[in-house]
Amino acid sequence: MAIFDVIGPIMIGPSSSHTAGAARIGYFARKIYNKPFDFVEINLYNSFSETGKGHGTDIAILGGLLGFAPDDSRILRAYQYAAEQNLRFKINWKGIDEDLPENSAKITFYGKDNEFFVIGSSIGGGKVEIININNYPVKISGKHDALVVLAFDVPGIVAYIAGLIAKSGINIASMDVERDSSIGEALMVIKLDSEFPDRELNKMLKHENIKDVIKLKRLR
Amino acid sequence: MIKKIKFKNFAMLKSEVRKSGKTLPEFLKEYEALNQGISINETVERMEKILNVMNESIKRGLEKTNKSRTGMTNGGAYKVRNLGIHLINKDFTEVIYNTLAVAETNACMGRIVAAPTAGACGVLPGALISIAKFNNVPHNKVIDALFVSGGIGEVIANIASLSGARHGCQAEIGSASSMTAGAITSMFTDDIDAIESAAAFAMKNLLGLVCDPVGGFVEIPCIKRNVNGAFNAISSAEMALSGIRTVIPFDEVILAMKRIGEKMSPTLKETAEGGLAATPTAKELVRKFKER
Repeated sequence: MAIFDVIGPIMIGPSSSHTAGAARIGYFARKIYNKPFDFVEINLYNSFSETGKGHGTDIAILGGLLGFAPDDSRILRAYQYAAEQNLRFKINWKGIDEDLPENSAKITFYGKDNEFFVIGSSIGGGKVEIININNYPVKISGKHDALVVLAFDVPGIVAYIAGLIAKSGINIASMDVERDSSIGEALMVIKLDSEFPDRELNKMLKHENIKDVIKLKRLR
Repeated sequence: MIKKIKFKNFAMLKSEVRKSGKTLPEFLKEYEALNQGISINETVERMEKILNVMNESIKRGLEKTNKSRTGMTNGGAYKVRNLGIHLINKDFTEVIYNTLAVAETNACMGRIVAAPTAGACGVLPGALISIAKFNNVPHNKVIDALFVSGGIGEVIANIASLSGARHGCQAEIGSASSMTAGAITSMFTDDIDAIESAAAFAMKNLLGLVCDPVGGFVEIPCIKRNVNGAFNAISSAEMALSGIRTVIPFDEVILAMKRIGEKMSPTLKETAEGGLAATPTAKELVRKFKER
């Protein structure tokens, strides 16, 4: 804990978990899925669903998806901004789901022929954790710069990626690999000590066995 | 390279401060600069920004009739300010409406500083900024006092917690009040024993306070409890400044808060299942709101 954790964060009220954390989940989800989409569905679970209306959880997440930080007053008019920017969305109050943590939201982006989802959980004091990306369990808190790599599960792929990061002179803080053997793919979450250069990122994207790479910057 | 400073309780903080020969706020500024990996100037700038937001939240809360999404909060600060009756004097009334202003701004989705939480965000600005104004305390002393409040909050977090869900309202309004009492005291004396006593008095006075928000919303009884926390901080500071000292050391008071919190029923820890939240009127209010 630090003094600025005690006196802070600066945020739009009323609740650090249900409002500030919710905004951060939306903001984070949009950073993870940084591509155009037609429609976004926001499902709210447990306490987010039970008390979210009074806490402004809906406009906080929507505001986050529009790129507003948790202390941005534009969150209050998120519905209006969404309409202006032609952001099509639906919010579903899903009630209790015991498989999910207390304050959880599932955000699904729909494109023409693809969909992509992120599940985030607000863990208190405005802090959040992304716990699932497209059915891959992950644990991303925004404390580090990170790469999320979706690759075909072939021998040597982890070594190739780690090698590319090493060559760019960046230290790996941690690396988690989750495999889905039914489709032969793996999702890697690689936390880094500093930002991964775009030049190297493009190189990585060109590799035949790498489907997609998402670069996440450390959240302020 | 200068090593990071650590303290796990107030006794340790006190001994580190005394060893350093610095005042408590000077020590804490250096501590936080090392913590964040930034310069002392940048650390102070960040605190300036925080004080600005606190001032803005008071202003916003007084400007107009704030209404919350639930409808349970409806312009209390504005009403108190325009009442024209002062049961003690104008300053006393000003502390009430400044504190209400921030807590209501929070309930109405305005911008606030969580200190230490959003639910208790009115106590520190409501009491500290008002007392500084009444006594013409210089700006840099107010900034210093905010560092003191943060240091006290950190000690509470290290020993117990600042979360209502873990230890009830005593950990939120209680901690905010304790932090504020120490901060106010530090504007008038460098005596770290006086600061400790003020923080200890304020915490002792609110031990056992449960977290029972109606419908789980940060409104009833949270908003008015902020006012209670603000006055508790001011009287605690005044007692400490007079030379009264706490018999039970602050660290042990925090430990008592933690143990009480652990014994508290989960229905009284932010779950909105007990206390005021379980009254027939509260249930009816929540039912009506959900139907809307």
